[in-house]
Amino acid sequence: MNRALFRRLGNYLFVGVCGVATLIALTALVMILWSLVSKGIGGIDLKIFTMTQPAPGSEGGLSNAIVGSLIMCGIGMAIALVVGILAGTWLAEYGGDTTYGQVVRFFNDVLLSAPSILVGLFVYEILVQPFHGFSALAGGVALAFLATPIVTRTTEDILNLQPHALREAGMALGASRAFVIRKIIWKAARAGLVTGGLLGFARISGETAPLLFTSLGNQFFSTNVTQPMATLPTTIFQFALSAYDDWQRLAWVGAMLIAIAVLSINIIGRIVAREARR
Amino acid sequence: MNDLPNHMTEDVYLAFPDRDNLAIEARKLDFFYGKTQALFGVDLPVERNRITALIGPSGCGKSTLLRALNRIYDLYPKQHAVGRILLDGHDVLADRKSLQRLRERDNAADDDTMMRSAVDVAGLRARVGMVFQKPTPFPMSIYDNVAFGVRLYERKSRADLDVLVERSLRRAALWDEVKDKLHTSGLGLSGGQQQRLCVARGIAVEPDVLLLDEPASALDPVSTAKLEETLIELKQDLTIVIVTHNLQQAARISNYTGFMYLGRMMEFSSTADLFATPRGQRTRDYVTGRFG
Repeated sequence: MNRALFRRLGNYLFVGVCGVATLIALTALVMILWSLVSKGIGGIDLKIFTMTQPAPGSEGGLSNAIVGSLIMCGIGMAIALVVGILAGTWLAEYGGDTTYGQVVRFFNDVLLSAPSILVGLFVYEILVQPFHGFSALAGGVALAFLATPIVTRTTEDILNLQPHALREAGMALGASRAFVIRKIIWKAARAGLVTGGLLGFARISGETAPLLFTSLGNQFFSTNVTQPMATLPTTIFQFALSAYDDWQRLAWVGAMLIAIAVLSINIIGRIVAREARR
Repeated sequence: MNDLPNHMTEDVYLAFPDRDNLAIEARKLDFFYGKTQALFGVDLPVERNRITALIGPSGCGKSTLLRALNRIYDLYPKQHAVGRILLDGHDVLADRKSLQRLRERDNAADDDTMMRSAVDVAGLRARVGMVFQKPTPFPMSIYDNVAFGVRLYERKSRADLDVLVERSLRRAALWDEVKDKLHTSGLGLSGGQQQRLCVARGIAVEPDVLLLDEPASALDPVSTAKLEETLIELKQDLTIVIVTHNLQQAARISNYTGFMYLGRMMEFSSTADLFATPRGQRTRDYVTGRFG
């Protein structure tokens, strides 16, 4: 066998293996989406959004869980955006090269991949046990712990991409460092900051484990953040494990809603990022 | 390296140019990037209302010298300058740390010429503007770009600001091209327009000195010509120091030229003299294009 043929065969083999691997990954994704949609679409109607979760066998929806998810993700993102953007800015602009900065970056990276159930247990220790009760606030804080490292990381990365000349130009006019960062650098990095926030939101919107120990879940409609509150993931968890057909159907609808929300957030993030690059 | 012939002898420096009419002046300036020394005892007199050009091969320290003059290097903790930079006779390197370094270098005791004074770096930068090699429009409208520096220092009425923005854009020879789209993004302009926008932004705060670091190197010939015209116009009101790789440009627009090599000021004189009768061999070789 000559060399050229041997190389060509090697090349085909490699491309083939890559193709098969891609196909496997894509197939799994499509199957997940397909089963979500096929089992969830039938159950979707107005009642899902207007009625709270039912007792087995009676009519109901997921409004308490949807609102709960929105509230807790809102709390989580409010904390994560403030802490994450400021921390990321500090890492990129001020202390990133110091020993302390390197330690912060290292622990942020560790947090980035921390098992979410540990985060739930930690928040249980600091916010649930001392106050003798599960609460939506604790759930929001647990979600913040998961979203903050993502926002911090993307903020630092995106600020590091901004040209030095832009900072120098601002400083050369006599502006302070902080002023240049707020008025010029953040503005130039706007799209990246938005993307970071959206990534964080996508991550926490489907989290279940950290909420089991913190917000617990609630079968009634509640907007009191000091009390237990339902969320889509915890309700899905509860319903999917149940023996009732109608509960299981609602679990599928909830799962589909989360998937749609995450998907649309990612698409919006990409569009925003592309628009801003122009 | 220390035995390189230095043609900027003390008497040349004293005689030329007019010492009473200096806008800014560097004296025995050393500059360090970390432990690497980039400038070695550089002297630079900059006469008021004139254009002073800095030429020399890449890495010779032209940009470093320029960046020392408005202390923009302060952004980077590892960079520092030792020596004196006099702006209207006031030492802008008179903060505690810089003075301590100067004392250590010169083995000088505390004396009254080394009185520490508070250095207002923001104020310094308001008086010494800077334009960079690549255009650096801010991500905001053309109007806001020009008004950016002004708004840092004073609260002006909308009408006053309108007048100032128009005047700055006119002086930067950009007004006619942008007057109908003042409130669109500055990022939408061409490279040459962006660079003139940066000039307009720099002069809007009415600085005494404008530093330009190879401002035309990213521009096409037409834009370059426009920029050069602008600079010649501007020197009626302010003092200009320009770093350039383009010898013709230095010859065309500058009144004085300094030739730098390996972190030293090798020769400094009127542009006509430096190009016609260079005193040093290296200067002669460089301006005739034999090396560089």
